[in-house]
Amino acid sequence: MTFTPLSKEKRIWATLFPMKADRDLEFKLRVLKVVERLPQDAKRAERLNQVAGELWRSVLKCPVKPFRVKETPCFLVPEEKAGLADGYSFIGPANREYHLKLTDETINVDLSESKLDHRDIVCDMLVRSFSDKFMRLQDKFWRWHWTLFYKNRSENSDNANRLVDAFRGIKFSVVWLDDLGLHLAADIRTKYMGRKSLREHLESGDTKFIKDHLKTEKKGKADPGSLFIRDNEIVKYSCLYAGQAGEPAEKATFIDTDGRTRTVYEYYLDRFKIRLPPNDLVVYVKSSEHGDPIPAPSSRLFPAFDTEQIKKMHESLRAPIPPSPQIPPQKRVEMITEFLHDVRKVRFGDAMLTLEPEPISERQQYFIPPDLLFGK
Amino acid sequence: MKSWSHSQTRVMRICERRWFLSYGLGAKINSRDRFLREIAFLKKVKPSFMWRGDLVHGVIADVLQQARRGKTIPVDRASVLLEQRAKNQWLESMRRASSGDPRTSLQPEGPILMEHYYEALNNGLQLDEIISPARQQMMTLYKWIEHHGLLDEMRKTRDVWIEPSLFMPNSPGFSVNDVRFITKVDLALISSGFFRIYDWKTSLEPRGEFHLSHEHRQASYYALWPYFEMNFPVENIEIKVVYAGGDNPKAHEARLVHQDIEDLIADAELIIEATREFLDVDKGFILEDFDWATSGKACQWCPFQQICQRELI
Repeated sequence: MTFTPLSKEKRIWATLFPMKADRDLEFKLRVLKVVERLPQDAKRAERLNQVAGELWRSVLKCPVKPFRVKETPCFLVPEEKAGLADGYSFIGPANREYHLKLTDETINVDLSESKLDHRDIVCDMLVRSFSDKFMRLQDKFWRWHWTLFYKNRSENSDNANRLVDAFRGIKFSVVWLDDLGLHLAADIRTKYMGRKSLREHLESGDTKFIKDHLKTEKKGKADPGSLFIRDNEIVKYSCLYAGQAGEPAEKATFIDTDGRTRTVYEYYLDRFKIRLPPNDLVVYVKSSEHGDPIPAPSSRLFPAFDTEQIKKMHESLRAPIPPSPQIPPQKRVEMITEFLHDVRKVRFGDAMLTLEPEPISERQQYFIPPDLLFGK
Repeated sequence: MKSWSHSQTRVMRICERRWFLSYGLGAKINSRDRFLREIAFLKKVKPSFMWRGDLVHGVIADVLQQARRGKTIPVDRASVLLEQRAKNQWLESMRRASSGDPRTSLQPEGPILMEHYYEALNNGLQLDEIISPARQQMMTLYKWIEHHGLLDEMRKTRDVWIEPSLFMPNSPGFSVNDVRFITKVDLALISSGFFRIYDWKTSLEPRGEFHLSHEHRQASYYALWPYFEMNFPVENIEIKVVYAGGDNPKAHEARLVHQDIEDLIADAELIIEATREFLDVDKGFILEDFDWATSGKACQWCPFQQICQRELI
């Protein structure tokens, strides 16, 4: 079996960008154990992941990883934050209170490490640095998820007659490759968002292309319908329409997480610095099919479209089709490189991480299969 | 015939062990096996917020039953009835919880309240915290029923089902292949060629548009009973869901169209297929075959928590 290089050298590119640090990266992790006995069943890993997520989000604000799940359940946390989790308790199976206890066990992870648990948490710790950097660039990007950011300016914004905005985004993660070390893996995403808000659709009575969003066109009861995007400017969320509230934002109230009753208008002004237009009709939206409906101003809801819907709408209105989600490989690499231009240098603790400007590539090679030797 | 219901689906999704203890073992209080007796006892244990709904449903059912016999229970009398029933059941709950005796001579018997049985859940709950909202909700429903002429209808109409038993012939439900899908309705009647189904809710009406809510979907299943078992056309089936959780009753109507039926049946088939292996009681399952709840929240109001707690010591 031989690989034969092409006569004229061609290269295969992977959208993996090598990452270099200006000093040795230190990953010191501490082990926290669950004091009480947990059920040993098929859902143990899922249960521990939930606790890890809660601990990450609400207490430590840094990555937490379940560890030794099948034996004595523990969590790995970065050493400098571990003290904060000592004594942390949660209500778990059988309505019992479970506690975390700091152990003396620390793990120093070096970059030749092969244990997957260790690699996962190190990658999670590093990816956070990139998310934070994107978050600081609010004049350029908006967040969809922690590892998916879109450009504020849509790809087709030059077309004044566009029906939808085609936003290009970057989805990324940190990966640790044997022999090659740490890389940022990235790819391009495209999201189509209607230019007209739900408010404009409702006021004009033009709901022809959002019937599936409003579920006025039945596609079966089990179909959750198409998504809206709740545009809170720096951050946007997907949601499902659940009906009109029948009140404007100045009057529609809800109970906020702090227990205060406030109007939707006040909430948008305080939380997002967005001054809603007068008489902005409030509707109910759900984060998922089984979620609880929450109020949202119709002026901040924009229909999301898939490529099938885009095609149908643009053909019907004879409008120019927006940029396609399919991008040729070379162009894709260029776009990713452009996205990463702003986050090429990020700080991780005392170290400065720098992304190589070029993704890794390999010489294109042929695999010449051996001759088939029947009967021998 | 094997049977399944929406509540079984809900319980199964929350916790497989809870499903097995509730439905999979057929535990009886006079079982020879101590563990089965314990399970049968715990099946009678219920949180107070659920009991409140039972009280409202029970009194409304009595009002309708009496109206059917030509007797009227006025609203103030219904209120006294609710209060009396609540007091008796409350006292019985305390006695049964402390003695461990599952039996009671009360009729209707009422539950053993979780707050009485599990000390950790008793945050000083007072009976009036149950009676006041239950009375309000019952009166709200009563007024709606009276206003819509249902008390008169009870007398005039031949075919009426008031909280029909799930184990009688012609009980509400429909069949999916070899499985009976049970639907629990509060009231059903046939009037002027229409099959009308009523569902009383003691909660607030859902936010948003009713036809986009879960409650609408759940109510839609009720229609499959008259459609499949009594050959009523969908146009002649009406479902009203009445919410009594606010100051005024809020009624919503769920209407089926033909294309919904296929979708609902497909969904029911999916549910049945997903849980088919558990319907086969002959397989001799044991508790260890089932997973625990993923989230601890699911266990907070689970009556079987003492069994699970014991296993984790």
